[in-house]
Amino acid sequence: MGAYFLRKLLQSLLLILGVLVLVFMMVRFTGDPVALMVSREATAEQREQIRVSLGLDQPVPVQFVRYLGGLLRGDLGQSLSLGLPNSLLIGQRIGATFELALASLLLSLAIAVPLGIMAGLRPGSGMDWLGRSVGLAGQTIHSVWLAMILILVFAVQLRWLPSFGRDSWQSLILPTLALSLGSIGQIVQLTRSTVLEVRRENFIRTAHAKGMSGQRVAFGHIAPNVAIPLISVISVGFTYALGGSVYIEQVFAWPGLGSLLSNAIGDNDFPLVQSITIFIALFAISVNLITDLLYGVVDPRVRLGR
Amino acid sequence: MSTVTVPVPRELDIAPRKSRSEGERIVRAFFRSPAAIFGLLVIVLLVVCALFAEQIAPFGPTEGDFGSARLPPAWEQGGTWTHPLGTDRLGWDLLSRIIYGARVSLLVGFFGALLAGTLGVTLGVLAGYFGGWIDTVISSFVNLILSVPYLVLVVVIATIFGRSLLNVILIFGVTGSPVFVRLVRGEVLRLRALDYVEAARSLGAKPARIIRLHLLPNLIGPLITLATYEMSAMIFYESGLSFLGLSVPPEVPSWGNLLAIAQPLLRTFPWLAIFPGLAIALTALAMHLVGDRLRDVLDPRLRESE
Repeated sequence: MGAYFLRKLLQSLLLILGVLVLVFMMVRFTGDPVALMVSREATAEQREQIRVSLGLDQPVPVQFVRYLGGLLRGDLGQSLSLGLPNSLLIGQRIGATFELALASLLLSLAIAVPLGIMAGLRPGSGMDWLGRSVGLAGQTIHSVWLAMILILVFAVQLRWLPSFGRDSWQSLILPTLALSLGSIGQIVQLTRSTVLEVRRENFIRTAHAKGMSGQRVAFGHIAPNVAIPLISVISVGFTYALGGSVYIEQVFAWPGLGSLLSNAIGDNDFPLVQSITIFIALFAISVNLITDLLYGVVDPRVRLGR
Repeated sequence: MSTVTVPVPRELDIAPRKSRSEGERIVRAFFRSPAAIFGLLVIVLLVVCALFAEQIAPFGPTEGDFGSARLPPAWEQGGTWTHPLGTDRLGWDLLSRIIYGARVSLLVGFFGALLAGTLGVTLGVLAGYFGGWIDTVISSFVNLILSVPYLVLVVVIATIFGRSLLNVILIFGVTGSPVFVRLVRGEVLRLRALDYVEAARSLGAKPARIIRLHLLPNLIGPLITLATYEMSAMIFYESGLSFLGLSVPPEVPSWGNLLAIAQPLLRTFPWLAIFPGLAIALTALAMHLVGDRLRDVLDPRLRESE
């Protein structure tokens, strides 16, 4: 148990280091960061000033170590366009994004898991058709487009729900719906194929052969074995919601990390883009780590086997 | 221990070869599905649109006059069949822009998937066949790319490397390769342990020959299927990047750019958002229908249960 935890923890730390190096390198080795940050009219002196103030006159390894040190102290640097510390900006926005992602995750799980299980238990049935259609819809209907259609129907035509901002609980509904279709589709497909896989196992055939009723096989034998792999859908749903929030927050003017990121992209605010990305990546890796550890707790095969 | 290399006579070559009737059988089986035929027709239509946009589109992508600006679709009040899907603020014809938009989408989808597939197959074969430290390095790369939310990764790379069609294709090629690596690596690991591969090796066949004649042909089916799905996913993500202003320049008509233009005008000119989104959905749907059918007819295990 301990060895498994330690191994997973180490792997995650290595991944985090890899992400940091990747993002850091990309910014450093793809042309002059200063040229991308200042306007074309800036004089050579102004450029040099920015270079020194950002510590870009130092050797690259020194810059990286400094950067790491800053990260450990919670210093993510300064936003160029807003002139505020990145950590402050992220701190202001993280709550809204977390709220949206959590709402989307809960909605996705509530709809997709039962649907996927029912679809997998009766392949070829109406439920199965519905499950597969929802899975397909998640991969064919773009969330940005869905967001706009939802606004047109529920905010413009019916006037039931607000289409932007984050003022009341009603403002959460449309962004959550738009954000969730993709993850619902993914989770339905994942659940369905997991159920189908378990159904093919020999012990299920044995249970049927013993004369056990279909219902008892479903609840007694299939359900517990499906539950374990399904832990991973939590991280799938969360990662999906975090990624999708970049678009969805933009459409609904939701004051979260996603809209902060798209604004930062628009302003060429590199330090801010970099900080938000790292932050989101760390978040995703942590969620992954937690689900991996949960796996280990629930299923001894995972932590003992290779 | 010294190894003796014995030249392999042609007759002893046990490489599996597909007879012509096998190809015919696959084509026939493919066309037995109406959904797949529909999907294929849509894809053919898109390719024709992309290749002959100049001849097909009633107007140029940036050709318009203010006199015919802000026209609704032809069947709405005030619409005209000169501009079947209406026009935008500058009098640009929406139908023409959607037809031209197929170019960006198909280019990104096709070359993105081709690059991802080539890269993924190469890395996957190396990792699966040779194992050891090569496998460790390649698998770490794959885990690194997969651990960060895909959208965030793409957004950052696009911000840093600049906004052009070529960059988008390169980004999708690199970030799309892990799924191919996983597929190929797993299959190679499984196949290389089989008797016929062992036999070929004992006859003195070199790795390159085994990979080319004994491993890769078995992978063609799953690879074509995966590439179809990936193409659809890349078209999907490209429109997202365009929407955020991270893909082709805003004046180039791409479906995502059209959505971005439509967003602020959603309440007054809803058709500007509806039709480009419909184009994305129809394209993704067509590719999925074709992909699903290819998966069914190309996988021998599914064939037996037919």
